[in-house]
Amino acid sequence: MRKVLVVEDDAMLAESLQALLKVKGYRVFFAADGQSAIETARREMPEIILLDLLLPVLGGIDVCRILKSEAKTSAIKIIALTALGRMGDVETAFAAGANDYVTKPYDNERLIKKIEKVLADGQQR
Amino acid sequence: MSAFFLFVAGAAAGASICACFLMRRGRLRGRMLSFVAHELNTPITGLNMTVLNFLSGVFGPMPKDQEEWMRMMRGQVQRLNSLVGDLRDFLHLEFHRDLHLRKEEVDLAQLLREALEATRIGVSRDDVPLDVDVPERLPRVSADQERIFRVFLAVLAHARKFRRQGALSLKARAQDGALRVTVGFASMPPAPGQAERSLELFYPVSGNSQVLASVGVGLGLGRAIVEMHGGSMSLSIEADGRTLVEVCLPAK
Repeated sequence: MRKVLVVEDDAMLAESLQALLKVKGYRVFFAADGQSAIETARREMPEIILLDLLLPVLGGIDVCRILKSEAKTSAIKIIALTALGRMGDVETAFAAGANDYVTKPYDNERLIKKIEKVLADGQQR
Repeated sequence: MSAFFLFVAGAAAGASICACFLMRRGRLRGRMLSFVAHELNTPITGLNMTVLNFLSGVFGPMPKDQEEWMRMMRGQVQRLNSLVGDLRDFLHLEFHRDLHLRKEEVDLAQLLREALEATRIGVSRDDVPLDVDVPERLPRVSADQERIFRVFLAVLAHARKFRRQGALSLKARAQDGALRVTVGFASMPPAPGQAERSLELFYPVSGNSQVLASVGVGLGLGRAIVEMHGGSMSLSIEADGRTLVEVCLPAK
């Protein structure tokens, strides 16, 4: 079962994401702030992280930079979740090592397709 | 004389300070509105995802009678999403002047079907006959999918709002290296000059005694977004009284 870490501080969105990903066959881990995200990623070593950029304690960009700079976690795929219109955030996330991004509001099908695409890209390399 | 010059200089300085103050307040308001619009993304995403989870059975089977309610809720969330998206784009276009497109390869035929489906709940309730002529396949376009989707929603919403009688038509064609999407409807004859003004960035068009904006900030934002894609949007009134709104996008 493929592991995914959801980093999202909005409870309803996080729960809905979790339910959707479980049905799609993923094993889901969860973090509600940046620091917990780093600890969970190091411990559980997910294949992919869905990372909200506006997080308490430690921002998503910093989380991305830290995980991509560590040998152990650098191969974990990261999809940045950002608000439409915040183009600067996307550029900063890519500079920090994010593999892709999805803009909020996103719908279920689009998100799942994006996850599959990013995971497939990783397998091809 | 020197007192007069002093008065003029003082007035000019005062006006300049006032203008700076107002501009600063304007910028602050713009920033605050942008912040609110961006913050709304998260609850809308949460609502949308939860509703979709209910509809797709992620939370388990759902009674048929409740499914209809959930579909209506999905329509409302989509509408809310469009309004917030329009507000956000308007702010980026007008206040920050930094609206950037995120282009990708888009299947326009599919996007049109989705826009029609999103509009259809309301259309069927209003008992509006639809005359749809969209080929199964159209050449792909390089476009900002989410924004072009909203443009189509806005045009269809405009047609629904201003249609007086007869069918609402939707036609799509590939022609001369471009994709042309035309929405037609029989409407009340607009007051002189109003048809053209419908495509201004914000112009609340009047219908009967009501003042109606099409959706969000109107067709004007849609036109601005289409033009950013290198396309065009036009609105014309035919001799038989039908209004035609045409969106033209360059094919990939």
